Formats: sequence, C-alpha cells, structure tokens
Amino acid sequence: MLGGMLTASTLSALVSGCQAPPASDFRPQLLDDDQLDLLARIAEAIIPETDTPGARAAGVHRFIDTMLAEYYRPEDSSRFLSALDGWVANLDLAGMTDEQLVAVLSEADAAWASGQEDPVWARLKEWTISGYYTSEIGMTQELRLMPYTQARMDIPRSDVERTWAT
Amino acid sequence: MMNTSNGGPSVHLRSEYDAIVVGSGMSGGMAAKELCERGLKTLVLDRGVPFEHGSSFVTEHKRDWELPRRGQVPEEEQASTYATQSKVYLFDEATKHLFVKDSEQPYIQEKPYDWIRANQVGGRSLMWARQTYRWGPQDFTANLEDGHGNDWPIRYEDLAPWYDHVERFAGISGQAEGLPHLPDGQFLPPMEMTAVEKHMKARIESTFPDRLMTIGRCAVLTESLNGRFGCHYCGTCERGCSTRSFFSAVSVSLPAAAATGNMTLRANSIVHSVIHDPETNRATGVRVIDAESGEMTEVHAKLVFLCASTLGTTQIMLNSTSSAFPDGIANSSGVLGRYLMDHHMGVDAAGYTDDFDDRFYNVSRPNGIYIPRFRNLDARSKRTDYVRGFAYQGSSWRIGPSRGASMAGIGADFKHSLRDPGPWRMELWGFGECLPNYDNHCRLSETETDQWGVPQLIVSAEWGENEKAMRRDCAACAGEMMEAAGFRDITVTDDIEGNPQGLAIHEMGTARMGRDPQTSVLNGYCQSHDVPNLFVTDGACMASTAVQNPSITYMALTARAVDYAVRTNP
Repeated sequence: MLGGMLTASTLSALVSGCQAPPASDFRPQLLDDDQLDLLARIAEAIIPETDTPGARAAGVHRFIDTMLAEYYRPEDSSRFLSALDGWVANLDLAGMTDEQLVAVLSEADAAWASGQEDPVWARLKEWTISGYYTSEIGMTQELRLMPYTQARMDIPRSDVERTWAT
Repeated sequence: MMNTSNGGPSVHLRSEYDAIVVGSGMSGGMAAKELCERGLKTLVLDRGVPFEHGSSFVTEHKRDWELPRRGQVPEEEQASTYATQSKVYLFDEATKHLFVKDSEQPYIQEKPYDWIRANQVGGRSLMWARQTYRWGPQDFTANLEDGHGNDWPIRYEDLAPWYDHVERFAGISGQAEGLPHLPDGQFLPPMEMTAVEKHMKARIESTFPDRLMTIGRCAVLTESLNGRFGCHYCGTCERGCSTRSFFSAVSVSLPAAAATGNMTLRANSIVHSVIHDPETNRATGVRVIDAESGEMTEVHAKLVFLCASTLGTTQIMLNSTSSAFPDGIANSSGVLGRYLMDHHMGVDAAGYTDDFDDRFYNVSRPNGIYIPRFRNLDARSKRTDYVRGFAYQGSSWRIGPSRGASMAGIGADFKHSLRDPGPWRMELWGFGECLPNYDNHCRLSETETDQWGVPQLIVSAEWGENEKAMRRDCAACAGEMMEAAGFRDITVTDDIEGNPQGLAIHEMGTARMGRDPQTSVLNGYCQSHDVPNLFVTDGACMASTAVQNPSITYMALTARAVDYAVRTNP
C-alpha cells in the first residue's frame, strides 16, 4: 500500500486516503449480491439486532468481503468460497426464512461446539465476531469505548456498564 | 543555519560541523540533545524518511473501524514485503509504515536472524516497549567474574549519575524497591497493578522469599514533566503521542536538540562510511548517500558519533576501509563485528483465574509487571547449570468479546453474554541474558550490495548452551509461580525456534567496549581506541547484555560519552 520513500505529508495523505468507505459507497470486490445477502443473514443470526443493532447493520458481510478480497491470498479465498458453496448446498440454506435459518444454524453450531469438524462454520462465526466487535456499532453501541483518562487499574466490575471494546 | 524540522535532502548542509551524529533514535536523539546543549553545531543524519512529532502520527487514536482492514496486514504483503518485520508483536495495519520493507533493504541470514529496523527519523524509539531498568553493579563485573567476554572498563558507579541525568530528562515511572542488583532510579509515581497482579505479587513473595514482583518501570509520564503531559492511557504509544507522554526521540530528545538552534537534521541520508585521515588519525566526516537520488556527498566535523543501531553502526564501520584500516575503521583489534548478542525470549507462561470476576480496570495501561532477576546473585542463588540470569515481564487483562469465536451459541443470549468481561488471563514473558560469543558476528558480503551500492550485512548468530540451560530453569520458575498464584489452565512454552536472535530487538555488541585495545573497539567512554574523535554509543558498544531492557543504559552511556568528548576535545 505504501510506496518506497515517502515524506511525512504524502504518508499522511496515503493513510487518510484509504479510510473504509461509508456503507452507501460500498462495492463488493469478491462476493455477488446473493452471497452478500446470505452472509448478512448468517451473521445476523449469530449476532442479531436486540436493544442494539446487529451484525447486518454493522456491515459484517461487507467486512467479510473485504477480508476475502484483501487480506487472504486469492487461492485461499477461492478455496473458502468453494467450500462455502458446498456448505450452503448441504444445509439447503437457499430460500429459507430467517426463522428456518436460525434453527439450522443453531444445530450446526451445537454440532461444531460438541467437537464435529465444520471449518466453514468456524470461519463464519470467527469473522462475524471480529467484524462486529471492531465495527463502530460494535465498539460504541454494543460495547463501551475505553476512555482516555487517568488510569484506575483495580476498580469494581460494577463501575463499568459493559466490557471495553478493545 | 538552524533547522528545526527534519527535512529531506533539501536541507542545506554546510561542509563543516562541530559534530556529526549518525542515527536519530534512542541513542542518536540523546547524543544530539547533549551535543547541541553544549553549544556544538551538530548535524544529525538518518537514513529513514522524515518524521515529525504530531503531523506524522497518522494513525494515532484511530479506532479499529477507522482502519481499512481493521488492523490486518494482508498475508501476501506480510510474506513478500515484510517477511521479518511482520514478526514483531506490534506490527499491524496502523504501524507497518514505521518498519523498513525487508524486500527493499535486504540482509543475509547465515543463520536465522531477525533484524528489526525502523523506517523513519526517530528510529525504533517510536516503537520501543518503554521498559527502563538500570543495570546493577553485578552486571558490570559479570564478565570478569565468570570469564565470559572481556571485562567492562566501567562500573556501576561510573554510570549512576548519568542514569540520574537521563531519567530526569526522559521521565520514568516506577516503584522504588531497594534492590541492590536492580537499583532504583529517579522515579515518577508508579502505575497501578490490577487485582490479579496484586494477588500474584503477594503469592509469589510469600511462597518464594527470594523473588519479588514490581510494577514495570517505564518511560511513560504518570504526571506532567518539563511541559509534557501525563499519560492519557490510549494504549497505543507506538502510533505516536501528541501529548509527548512517552519518551521517544521524535517527541522529546530531538525537539530538545532543535530548540538550541544548533541542530541540523537531515532524513533520507544513508551514511556509507566514515572518512579517516591517516595524517592526523582522525575521523574527518562521513560519506552520505541521498536515499532518493543515490547521490553521494561528504560532510565534515570535529567529532563523529555513531548511533545508527548495533548492526547499522557496525555495517558503516566495516564499510569504512582505508589503507590505515583495511578491515574497517577503528578495527585494529579485529573484533569489530564480533560478539553479537541479544536477549533470549520466548519462554512464556499463561493462566486464568475466576477469583476476581468482580474487579476490572478503566484503561489500557502501556506497561506491565516485572519480576527482577533472582538467580546467580549470591552463594544461595548460585546455579551449577548456567551462569547469569533472567527476569520476567508480564501483564494481566480480562478476555474480550473475541472469546465468542470459540464459544457455543448464537443469537440474542449469546450476544448479550459477551457484554460482560471474560475471565482474567495472566502472562509472564521471560527475558534472559546472552553470553558474549566470538562466533556470533556480522560481516559484509563480498558479492551482494543493496540498491545504494552498500555491501549487504551478513548476520550469523545462534543461542548457546548457557542460554538453553537457562531457559529450562526460566520455564520451570514461571510455571511454579503461576501454580503458586492458583491459576487454572496454566501453559508454559519454550519457543526457541520461533525466537531467533534479533527478535527481542535488544541486539548488542559488535564494537565492544574494553580495557585492552587489542581485544576491544572502544574504551570506557565509548571512544574508539584507534581513532580518538570517533564515538559509538548505541548497542554496538556493549560488552555483555545483562538482562535489563537496554535503552536507558544506551542513553546514559551516550550522555556520559558526550560529556567526555566535549570536555576533552579529542
């Protein structure tokens, strides 16, 4: 991303120039609309809207597209997308209502938690957690941003409403 | 001409200065400040890009969602561009621009060696872990007493007033403990321990009368000092500190040097070699390559201070060949490049506790705890299986929502359960002393050069039997202290393969100090035995490593060397 020898001012321009775009400007790099929507529904099943927004509002599906396109090597992302297709077909997820989806995913999660291998589910769950709790919604509405203030390293748990976003 | 900004090669250079300082990090920044404050017109050269307090801190205070990839550096970029630098614990999307690209600045690993290098003015002082511990009297006599390495030409008493001097300037927070082997310093108020750390401290000290846990001593202000503000605990010092609360060359020592009006600082300036005049036997200046244009120029001065980091400094010296010094300047002894050392690390212990679920903290503390060395200090602590000793850093925290990725459940209850802090985790990280060994060395390649035509550095170092034996004891002691504290799910690891020399980023030696010009490069004032106006005050000067994090010692040695150089005008 950063090229050769840079001055302080060009460095500043580069880093501030690659801010994550607002959701309205988002264009998927790897996933098609159906895949994006399905991932949004799966993520929302894991972290639903309650008294705070859920994974879809936090853009977890967009985060997954960015990670697949920009973080992983192309061959690893392709391998995952193939596995995802098989996993979706196997569970027959296409066309399900949200209620049906939650029921099927609850079963898949229980099987995985009891030790059954399910690398696609493990990945989706991990990405949903990391995407949600590093999002602005996850860090400011669901959890609490750590203040910049005087340190108090041994305080009652009850002094803090919810755990810190870190 | 005064220049307070660190401009590129457009900075106008005069042909003659009172002093040249090569490198602008922990040692170079201090050398610049001390020289300039004594009235010397000082040229500071750094091979890195310009970097300024404030305006260069482009990722300071950015939250995760403000980083395009939430902090991740693509796997392919890590492997192809930052193969070595990406191993550093704080390398991420918000810090990668602070590191050199290994792909553009290659070196040769004859044995696995992680050379961690900064990419900017201020060097690694921006990314250091800020831990500051004085050496004790035993550290200056260890070589003499056990026969490994050469005798240090100085003793603790020689350096103590200079520790005072640099500590007062840098600002060190810590708890006085009265330990003879880890002397107290000029401390600002200590940071606080967590509930779990307080508990572990009590258990360790009641179970093991020879051991002690103290809060880390660190170069982070806990109250205002010299116009700098106390820490606001944002938790990511390495991204830069607008309040100048942690000590770095960028925010503290270079600005102090600039304020005198005596400093000229030039970035993108790769020092190729030191110029030696055989008539007068003096270093008359340096040859500088403009990193952007490749053009070479010469600048001259009455004094030359090399502070380019251990391996950087020695690379320059080895490349400074002449009829008088065919094997590198100031190398009549032949030991230049030899006795390369680093602290060994990667002996770690971790455990969990559920006994303090009602306790928490309100910020991210830029500091941890410290368990000072307790082996081989007296007859009672004497070991038969190894010499020297180790110490531990460590910290505790509550596991965050990331634990959800390995928990059962989905849906509202799952989400809401992650609103609570998770279990407490405590970790200890061992750091051990490394013996000086002639075979561990660096030298110049005779065939490979970098893009500027400078011979690449070959590094060849490995851990010895003493380090390996020490690691076994270090692991055992870490495990028994975790047990004594009553933690659950304790793990103890000794990952020597994953921690080759260099990765502790405490590399030392290769231009060692000593009493005998035939077996050492520098005298007790970091002054070349051979070339009296040439000084080396970074980690290259070290004759042993002790176990303490070295930066404060480099700074104390630097201030002492400048004082000597200016007084004696060699």
